Amino acid sequence: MKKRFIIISVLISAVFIFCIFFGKDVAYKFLLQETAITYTAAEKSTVTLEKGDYVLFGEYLDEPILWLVAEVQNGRPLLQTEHIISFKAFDASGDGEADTEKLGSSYFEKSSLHQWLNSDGKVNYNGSAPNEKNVFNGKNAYESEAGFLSENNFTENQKNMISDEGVFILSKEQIKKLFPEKSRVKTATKSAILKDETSYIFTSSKGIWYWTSTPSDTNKTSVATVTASGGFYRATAFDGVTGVCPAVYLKSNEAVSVYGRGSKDKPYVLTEGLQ
Amino acid sequence: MKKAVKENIPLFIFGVGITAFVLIFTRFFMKMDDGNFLGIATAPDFTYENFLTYRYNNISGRTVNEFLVMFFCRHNIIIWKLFISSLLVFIAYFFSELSSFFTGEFSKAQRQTFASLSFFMMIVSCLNPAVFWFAGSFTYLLPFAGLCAVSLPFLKYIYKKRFSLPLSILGAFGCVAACSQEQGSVCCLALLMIFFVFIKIKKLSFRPVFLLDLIVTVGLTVHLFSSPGMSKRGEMESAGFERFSEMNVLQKLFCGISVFFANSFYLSFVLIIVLVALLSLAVYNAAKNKKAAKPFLIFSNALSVFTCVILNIICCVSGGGLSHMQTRSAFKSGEFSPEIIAMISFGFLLLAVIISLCVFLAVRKPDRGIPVLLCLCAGFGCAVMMSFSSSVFSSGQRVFFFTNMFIAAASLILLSTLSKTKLSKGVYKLAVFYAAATVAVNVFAFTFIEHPLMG
Repeated sequence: MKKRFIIISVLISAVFIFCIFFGKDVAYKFLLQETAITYTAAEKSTVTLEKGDYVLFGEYLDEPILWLVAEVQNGRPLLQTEHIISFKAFDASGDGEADTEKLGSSYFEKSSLHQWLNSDGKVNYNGSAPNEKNVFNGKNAYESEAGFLSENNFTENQKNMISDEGVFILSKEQIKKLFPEKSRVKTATKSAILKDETSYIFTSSKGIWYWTSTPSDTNKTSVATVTASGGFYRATAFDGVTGVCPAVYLKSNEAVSVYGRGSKDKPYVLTEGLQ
Repeated sequence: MKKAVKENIPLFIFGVGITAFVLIFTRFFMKMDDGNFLGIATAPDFTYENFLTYRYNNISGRTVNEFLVMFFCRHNIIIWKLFISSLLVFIAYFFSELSSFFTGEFSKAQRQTFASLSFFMMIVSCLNPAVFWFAGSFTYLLPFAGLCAVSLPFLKYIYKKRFSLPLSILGAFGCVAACSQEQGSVCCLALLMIFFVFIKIKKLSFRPVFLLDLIVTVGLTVHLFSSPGMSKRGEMESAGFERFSEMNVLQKLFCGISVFFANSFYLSFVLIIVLVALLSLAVYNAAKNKKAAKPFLIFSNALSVFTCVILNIICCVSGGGLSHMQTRSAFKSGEFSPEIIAMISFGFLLLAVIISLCVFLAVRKPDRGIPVLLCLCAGFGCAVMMSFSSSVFSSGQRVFFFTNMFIAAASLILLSTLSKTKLSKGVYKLAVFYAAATVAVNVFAFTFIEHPLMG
């Protein structure tokens, strides 16, 4: 009995150690699907973006970013990424403010995420930087990562298409208004999942929590989030395992596309700027 | 010290193992209430008085529980980890003490192993949010440990006629912990009443210190249930279950019992199979006409295995979801699929069988039958209490933690009274194997899942 117990314990421990080192890689071979859409640029054509259209616009982690046109307001389309493109803390802790020193701030305009989303090249963070010391458990720090609008991700033409609001994330109210509960569920891109530094396993098919820009009303460190099932809850600002779904307003809904018909599998490709 | 360790090796191993597990794997869940409470507790303008007053008036009367949440939020998480480890060891110690009041052939080491692993005999999605989740541990684990602390001096007094003043004073603190939550509070009040009746029946002298328990329990229960926040929260949570307000008392009761079946019979099914098997063996030993009892006992076990495993799998596959999810959508929508009707019907049948076996045992062998009956009544009572809460579906499987722990306690009592036969040893092995497998599953879940099977 004792011998059997020892053998089983050793076996389980061996499996566990194997999983710690190789489990994620093995699991991801089965759990992850390709999210990057490939295309061959064709002739340029002028398209009018409408609500419900899909567009490829910019790149992140070497994967073209797929956006959904959530609405068109006064000729300006509002785009939100179809997938979670990255896992990042909303705001770094350690800013020296008594309220938010330990857990980060829920105020989007001054957050680390806002600064990263609207920077090109190296980001000079005002306040504390989202390094290993300032994000929860030191995972998914992004202090050294170039800003979202850096030239690796967006061409000058593309950057000129973005309106003055810059890149942001949708508020809870906007998401509530624009999407029914089931449509709020978002999965992450393959590259976002592979870049995650935690030991947690994510899949391409299951919803993942992502940030809104709305602060929670219970304290100054919690931010409203969309949950895996499309409901709303909250997460602490310095949590680095919550997804980011950037949103932008384009200056006009008349754009030049080099591919596609606006559907999810054949989205418009906006590389050439506005009409 | 060495002697104590030598005599309680399973308990000692459990203590070391569970402390290591808690220290390595448990953590704050920033996307659940932990992060929110941390944010509140670390705010510069935070005061206990303001927070507790606000919560009492707007959220709930769980003042003790919420005070402790804030207290531990303001200190290093290691302190909370050590605190819950000690609560788990205390409950395991209480369970092994409980088993020592009964005589049977299973050794002390085997009883302690069963007692220590009893947590892991329930489904992980009930265990994890009730025990290993920071905010949840104060709502479920702590009050249950409180109930154990209240019961210990009474049990020693009733069974061994040993009165201990320090233990009784500890019991009063146990009342404070137990009454920090509604199920715990009602259980504590009921337990005290039962102990007082037993003291009277056994013609033992009533110690004044027992009154302290009663005063604390009544006071905190009134505080808990008269909280203005409790009704406000109820109204808020009823938004997620609109049909609740249209249901009459019987319908609510039916809903609560069905949810209990879904969670205890169909999710924590191993616990029920073990309970029915142990009950059958105890009844077989107690029966005068063993030949006549045998077919009924075989039927009982066949029914429990059929209901909890075979029917469960069939209904989950054909209904397209686990029992608790199907039950939730049925009661929310008012549309009952054939799978749900089958699961509820067989649930009632199995419940009737369990009650019959229990009542038979209580009549034939009151020394073991009555404690088992009381444990099961407490467990079923805690589950049925949820019938009257609109949050019956919003709090997940953790609300059945008390129920599952009482079922585990009843199973332990039964095991402690049995003789060692091939069958009883088989049931013991099944329970221990399942519990060990749950531990292994949990190690993987806490490593690879952000919110590890939190129900």
